Amino acid sequence: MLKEFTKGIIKENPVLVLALGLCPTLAVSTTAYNGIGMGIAVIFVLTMSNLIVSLIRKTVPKRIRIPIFITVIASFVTIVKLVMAGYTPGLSKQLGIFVPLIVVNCIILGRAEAFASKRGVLPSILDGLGMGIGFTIVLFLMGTVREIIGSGTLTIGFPMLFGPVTINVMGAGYPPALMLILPPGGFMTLGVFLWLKQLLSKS
Amino acid sequence: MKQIAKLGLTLMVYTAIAGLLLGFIYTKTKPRIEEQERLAQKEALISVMPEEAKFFDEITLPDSTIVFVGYKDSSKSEAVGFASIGMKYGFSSNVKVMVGILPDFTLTGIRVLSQNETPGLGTHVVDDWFQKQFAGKSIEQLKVDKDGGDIKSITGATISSRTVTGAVEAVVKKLMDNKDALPLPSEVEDEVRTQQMFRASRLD
Repeated sequence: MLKEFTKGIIKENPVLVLALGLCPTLAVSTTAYNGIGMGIAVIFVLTMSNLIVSLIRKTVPKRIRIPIFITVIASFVTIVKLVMAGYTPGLSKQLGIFVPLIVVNCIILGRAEAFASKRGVLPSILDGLGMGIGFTIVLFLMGTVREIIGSGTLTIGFPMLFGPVTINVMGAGYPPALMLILPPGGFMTLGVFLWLKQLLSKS
Repeated sequence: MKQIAKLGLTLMVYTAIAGLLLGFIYTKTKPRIEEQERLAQKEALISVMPEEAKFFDEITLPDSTIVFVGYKDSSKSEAVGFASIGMKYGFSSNVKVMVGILPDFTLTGIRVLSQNETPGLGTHVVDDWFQKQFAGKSIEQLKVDKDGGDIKSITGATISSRTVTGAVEAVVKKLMDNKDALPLPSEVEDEVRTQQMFRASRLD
């Protein structure tokens, strides 16, 4: 049972192994804090949608399962968006359009279709949590690398617990390698991460 | 046919439940979200007004622009500053900015209220150093350095820098054009008029 939780973190990491949800990965990982914020929103939506999809899996007719799953996912995304706007306005401003776009993040529909619609409630929750955490770790690490090289700073924090703090890592004279925080830098960082993951799993 | 109706009904039941749930959450979070927006605007207003402004009022210009007026005391006899919101389309979004001015139309400060520019580039218009440099500037200085003005633009984000500067300039210009509608202290009004006459004579 524990395997359902741990597999999402390394062995079947949604970004590095399943290669799902790459659009938000590239777009949001410009700072470490954005990565954490997006990751937490995804953990919540993924776990809740896995839970509900697994609960209703026997009553959903096969032919309309996708629209129903999307309805469930979109509902939770809207909840996250409203709560964020009310309680963490700063983060909500930073993430902007990417929160509503969680609806079309293929990790979530992918896990609903491939896992939660076939398995019981507990494994589905564990799967959602594990996959969400795996996604968050990758976003946080990519955000850290891109922010340090691309802006020379590091912004860390945890939504609702402690506010984002920006540390000037590289010192004042550092000329930021702007490309790293632009889309090409996102692809390059992701490429390096995929390569590192391959190296790790080979040895 | 019967099958389709059945599927349609099932889907409707699910969406109805989702709709009810969302309606409930929406009404619960709505006051909180509005509160946050009000707070953000209030905070922006205070940050762009001169420090001695303690009481605020709103007046509406003929074109329905809202101008906030800051007063020193509750008698509201002496206006010490004005503020208004300007908006301009930048690189990828509408940039909304609150602009504060003194009665002689020099800037006291600006605050970017909302923007969705390129992350890591244009988004730097919200940085302190960029916004702070507007304080004390007059309308003639409101151009980015590349256009021969006094506003230092952000490296790699001239469009966003120009957008903010342009929005600020438009607000100052609008307030100048409508200065008869503003409760300006009389001696300052004279001063402004002399200054403008001086400038006009220099142009000749």
